[in-house]
Amino acid sequence: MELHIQKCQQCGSRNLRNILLREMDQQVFVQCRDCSALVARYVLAKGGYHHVGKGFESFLRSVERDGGFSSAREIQSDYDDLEQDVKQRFKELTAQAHEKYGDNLP
Amino acid sequence: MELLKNQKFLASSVLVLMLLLVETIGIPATRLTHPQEITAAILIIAAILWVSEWVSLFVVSFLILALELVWLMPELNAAGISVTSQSFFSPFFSNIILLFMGGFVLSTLMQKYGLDIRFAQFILKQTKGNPSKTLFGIILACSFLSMWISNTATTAMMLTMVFPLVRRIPESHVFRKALVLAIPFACNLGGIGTPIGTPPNAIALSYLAERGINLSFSQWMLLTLPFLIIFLLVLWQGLLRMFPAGDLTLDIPQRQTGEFTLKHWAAVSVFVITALGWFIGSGYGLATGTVALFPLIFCFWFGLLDTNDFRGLPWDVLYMVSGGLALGVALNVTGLGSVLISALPLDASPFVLMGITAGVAALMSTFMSNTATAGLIIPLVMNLDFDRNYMMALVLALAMMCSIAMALPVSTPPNAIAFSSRAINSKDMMVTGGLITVVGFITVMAIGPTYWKLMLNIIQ
Repeated sequence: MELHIQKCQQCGSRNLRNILLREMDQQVFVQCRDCSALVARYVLAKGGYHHVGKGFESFLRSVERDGGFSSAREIQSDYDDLEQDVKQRFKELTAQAHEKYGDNLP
Repeated sequence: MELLKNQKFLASSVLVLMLLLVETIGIPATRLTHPQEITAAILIIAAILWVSEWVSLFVVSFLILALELVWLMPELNAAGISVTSQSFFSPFFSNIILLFMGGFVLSTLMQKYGLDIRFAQFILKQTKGNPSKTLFGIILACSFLSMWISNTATTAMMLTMVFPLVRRIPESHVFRKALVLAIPFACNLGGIGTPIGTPPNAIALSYLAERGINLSFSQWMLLTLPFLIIFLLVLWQGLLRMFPAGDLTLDIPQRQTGEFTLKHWAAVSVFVITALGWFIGSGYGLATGTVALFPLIFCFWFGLLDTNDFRGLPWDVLYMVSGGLALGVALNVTGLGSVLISALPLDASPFVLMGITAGVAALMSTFMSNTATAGLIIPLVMNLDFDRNYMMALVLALAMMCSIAMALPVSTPPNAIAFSSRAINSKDMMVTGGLITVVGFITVMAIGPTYWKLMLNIIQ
């Protein structure tokens, strides 16, 4: 597994902003807050968006761009699993980031 | 004990047990031929797996095909019944499957270019915040959109549109519930309106075509739309009375949709031309599946959709339909369907039989997948000795009941989504959904046979 904390390739700043765009795909543009350069762009996979604190609504925003479900039984548990999984993955990756970068994350 | 809780293990056990049972002692106390026993085993395995959902539903379709090819077909040939693998492959790519693929392409197109959001927003804007009109607008938008795109995706889109509106209503106000409940119910019902609205329609159309009743796109709409309109009016008035708005005024939120470009116009054109083709194509000898090739080719040729969009089509839904049709092939070639039907005490009138089967379909699809219900029940009833008019009425009634049964959160994915939002409780859903199911059943039984018979005489 690779883990990187991104920085602006132009000015080296780690002061970045995420701009979420919803049109044909869901995309995230990462912009440097110091020099305004474009740092990266991500296209979100179907069902890949999760906004902490706006859980189910963010889940629905992914579902509305997804084809559909053939079964109704697991929607609640799928959502609960997703929420738990995101939290767990974040916990693991911050631990790994500390291992790689030390106590003070860049 | 841990192993018994493993759903995959349970599914495998059912499969192995059925194989062993049929190959060693057969199915006791029946006079079935060996191919019929095998077909019965396939039917039971499919039913158990579709009801239990121990494995993904679409996998069951491929299991049906596999069992038919490697288990049933050699036995049929050994018994002197000439059947080729082509018979079992045919449900996996037919006119109806092609029609559904075209429907999925249109659906993807509408979602990708935000046509669904724009349409819903336009409708809501016309209501000017009047609660009764807004509720009707939501019902109208949901039902129209779900006639063309996935009921689940429509529900999700409309809920994200309506939640900001709901949040502006005081928490104690009951009308909040009406707004949220209207969405899944209207989406479930909307599926009735077109052949591509929901998978049970495809299963019904396929079996009717086998009986020589070939319904065109517009004929299906002519047969089902009056019922849809009645159900939507009942839903609207029912929700208004159960959850009155009082003197509430609603503040309709706006969702950013961006610029309407040439590509958006192209997407609208493809939608309109395809829909027109479906409406009038039969007059020029074009099957609905043939018309569906137009959006399929045009959208990917001219880059309105790309390969990723093609990969993202809901193939699982498509293959669930095929599985239901593949079961019918086995029931037909082995004659098991006729044997099962003749073994039942079916002396009652066709109307009573229709009532019983429609009731069973409603009950089953309250608890399990609508597509699986249609895939299990419709092939069986095709063996009933009904005349042409009553057979069409029966199959239409069954397809509609699969969509109308919506009393529980697990009844349909739209219900589950709305329920999971925690804006409504299970009692609200059971009372309102139960009411629609009952009204739907009574309406279908009271008007259906007469109306469909009249229409069949006019259109064919």
